[in-house]
Amino acid sequence: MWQIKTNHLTYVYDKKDPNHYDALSDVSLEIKKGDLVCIVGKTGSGKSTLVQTFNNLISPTSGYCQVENFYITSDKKLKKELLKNQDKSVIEENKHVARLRRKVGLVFQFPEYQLFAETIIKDVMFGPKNFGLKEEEAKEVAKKSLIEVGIPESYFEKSPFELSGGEKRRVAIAGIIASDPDILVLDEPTAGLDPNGKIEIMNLIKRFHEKGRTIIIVTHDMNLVLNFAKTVIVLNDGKLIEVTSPEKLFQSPDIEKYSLEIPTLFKFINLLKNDGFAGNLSEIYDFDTLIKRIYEAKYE
Amino acid sequence: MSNVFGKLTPYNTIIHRLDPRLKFFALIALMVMCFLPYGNYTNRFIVLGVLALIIIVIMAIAKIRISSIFSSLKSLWFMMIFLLIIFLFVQQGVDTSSLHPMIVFPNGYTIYWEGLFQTLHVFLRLVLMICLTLILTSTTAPMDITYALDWYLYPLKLVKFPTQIITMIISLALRFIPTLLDESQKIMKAQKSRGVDYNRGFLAKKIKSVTTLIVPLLVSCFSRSVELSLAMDARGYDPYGKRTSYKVLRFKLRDAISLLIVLLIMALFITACAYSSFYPGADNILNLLFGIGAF
Amino acid sequence: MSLAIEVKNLNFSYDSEEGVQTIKNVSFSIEKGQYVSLIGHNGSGKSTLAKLLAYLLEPASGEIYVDGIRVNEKNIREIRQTIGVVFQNPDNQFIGSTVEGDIAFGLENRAVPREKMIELVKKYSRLVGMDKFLNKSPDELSGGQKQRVAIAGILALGLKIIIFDEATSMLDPEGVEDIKKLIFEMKKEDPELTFVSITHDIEEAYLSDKVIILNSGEKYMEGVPEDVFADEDKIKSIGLDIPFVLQVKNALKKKGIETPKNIRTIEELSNYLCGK
Repeated sequence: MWQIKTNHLTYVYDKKDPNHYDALSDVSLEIKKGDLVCIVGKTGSGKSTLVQTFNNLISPTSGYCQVENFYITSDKKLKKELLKNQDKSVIEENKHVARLRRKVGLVFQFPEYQLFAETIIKDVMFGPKNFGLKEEEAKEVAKKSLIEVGIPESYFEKSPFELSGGEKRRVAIAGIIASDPDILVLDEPTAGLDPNGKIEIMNLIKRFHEKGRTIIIVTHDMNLVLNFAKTVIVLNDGKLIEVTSPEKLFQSPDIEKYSLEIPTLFKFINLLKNDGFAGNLSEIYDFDTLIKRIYEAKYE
Repeated sequence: MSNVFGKLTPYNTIIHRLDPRLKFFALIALMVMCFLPYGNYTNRFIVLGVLALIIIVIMAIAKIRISSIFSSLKSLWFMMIFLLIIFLFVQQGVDTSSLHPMIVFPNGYTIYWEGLFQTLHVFLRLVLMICLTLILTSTTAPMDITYALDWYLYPLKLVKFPTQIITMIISLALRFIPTLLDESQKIMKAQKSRGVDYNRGFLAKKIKSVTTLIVPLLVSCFSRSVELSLAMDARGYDPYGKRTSYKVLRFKLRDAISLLIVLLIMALFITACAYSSFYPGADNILNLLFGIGAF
Repeated sequence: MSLAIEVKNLNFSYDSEEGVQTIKNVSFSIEKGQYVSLIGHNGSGKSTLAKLLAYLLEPASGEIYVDGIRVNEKNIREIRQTIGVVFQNPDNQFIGSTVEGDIAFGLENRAVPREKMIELVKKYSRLVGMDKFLNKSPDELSGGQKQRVAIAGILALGLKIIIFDEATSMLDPEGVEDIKKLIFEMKKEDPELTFVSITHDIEEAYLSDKVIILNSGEKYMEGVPEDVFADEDKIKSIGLDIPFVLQVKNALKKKGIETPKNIRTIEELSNYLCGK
């Protein structure tokens, strides 16, 4: 069952600008509930724009995006039509953009730059309180989320600005998790972190996924795609290229056309193929299989 | 911010090529011309009309779209209404006997034609000033404005005042405005995702929403400034040291001619100002409108 | 061969009262014309070390020599003529309002005559491939382009040692590739240039002339990449990775397939395995 659907979604930045361009053009796709999706594409391919339509920070110029019962579009006629024969409760829901933003948690790139409150706990409570939770309830969920991201209780009353870069990022993520979103969208969650920090954040995201949330990650990091994604969405120049699996993506000959970085493993396999390696190179997706095949080719 | 002051347009008209020092001088000169006393309202509106005409001609030469003025003015509607209310409802001067009443309320409260005229006059001057600034910023790179400023600050150098530090600060500020605007947009989007609504709510709530933007922005400004100062240090910047300038301003023939035109325009307006103070004349517009109103 | 950088018993702490020492008794040397990778986790002190080398911070004790000049307050002019830094954030080191203005900034600071400046800006903007963008402002450029401008600014000064302080970590893959290519070209152009790259990229480190690993402010390992990465357990014990080529070579070795020691890139390895 799909949870997010886009239908001929098009978004134009600043229509009045004479040299405007389509940030997204005619994108139609579906994202399944509980999936772990990576959206990839080079800078300017429209991937950040796409995820920002999911919680109505950006409203499609034409076409629409649907998140469960929410319809997101700035085409008023279309919206009226979409809501025409709907249940009363659905029409009521659609009036509250805050409910959508609670359902779809969006963690921006470098989220540590959004911290503002005097203590960590207050910062994490901020989202839940905006979405209507009472002080005590908000505090409860904030505590839970901070522990979930691995921030010890002794830190709660500290200023967020005392933390290290990696810790700040985890606090910022807790600030989104605290509102208990069904769908968690992360824009470049590993940018600027060292290898250990990257692994830490990815394991965290994996845990969120295991709890049944739908995870959508926008990223350049193809090693992350290879190791974590179940589904990959490829965008190029605002157009949807394909919805595929990481294994298929990295073996597809088209990948370089979209200026995506190929993980070293696949780069090496491609090199071997080009150099005429005397052995079977199909369907290798991990390091150990590669070594086995090389060994087989040499000795059997 | 970027809306009010406009951005350098990608053309290369004669106005774009003029020396920034000249443009800076012309801007200040014409602004002063807006503010000279020209006597009664008839004279004032004629003078502002002529000035508006000059400005429209310059804008046409510089290929600035008239519509860009409106986007600059968008944020000023509120001020216009505010001005109108003040000028219409606040009695002007002590002696109201010389004023021309427009509407007299049953309770004796009077709205005068002068109130409406004054609002229009102030607003028109404001619009002209914005247009002038728009011309400068649309045709001159920020750095060139800084160079011009540096040149005008020259006298201060003679008394050992470190003007180069001031111009460096201004040029860095100009350099980072687009960067910070971009950043504030990103922060606002992120906070919206956490349920902040920047448009709604009462004062207390609004202040709280603004905090969610200002604090992160300040934090980032500080860290940027630390990194920036390291980068400047690494590249050998010494605020008190002797520096040369990559960019040199050259006053060309076209600049001399333009200067002459600006001076002529100034002379024209100053004459008009002097003339109107010696021979005030009748306030035809006011009388005409008052007559129609009374009729 | 003469030394580009020499560090002897260097110590530094940001806050001497707190007693947390950021750099602990570090010594090493770098020869002229070398490409050296400085690796370690965030907080290992590698960025601090870069700042000490360029005298952006003052050492608590110990000695640093760049190109034979003692790094201290007295020699600051000579140091700035010798060593330059490309920082991480492309935006925060772009000082001029245009590409040419930024390249010229360092020259202006040294009171270089204007005619000479124009010539240098032209020459080095061409070298980094930015000569078509001279009038562009930073908000019209990509991160990779801004970093290229920063590099041109350093080269125009005729500096002999360039430190890259995670200069590609905020760039997209295209930008990273761009900068790597540029460094390669610069080395070809002037073999006397010395590069110190502070990086997380193990693959890049494996291809450099020398690797220095820092861990909690101390020098953990130093040497040619083959030797340093040969000690797999020691590398992995501080959570660092082994380069891909070496991983393959080691795995094959365990199965009894020996590969020549001088193979360092995947291209070479593939060629070898395919019998070319």
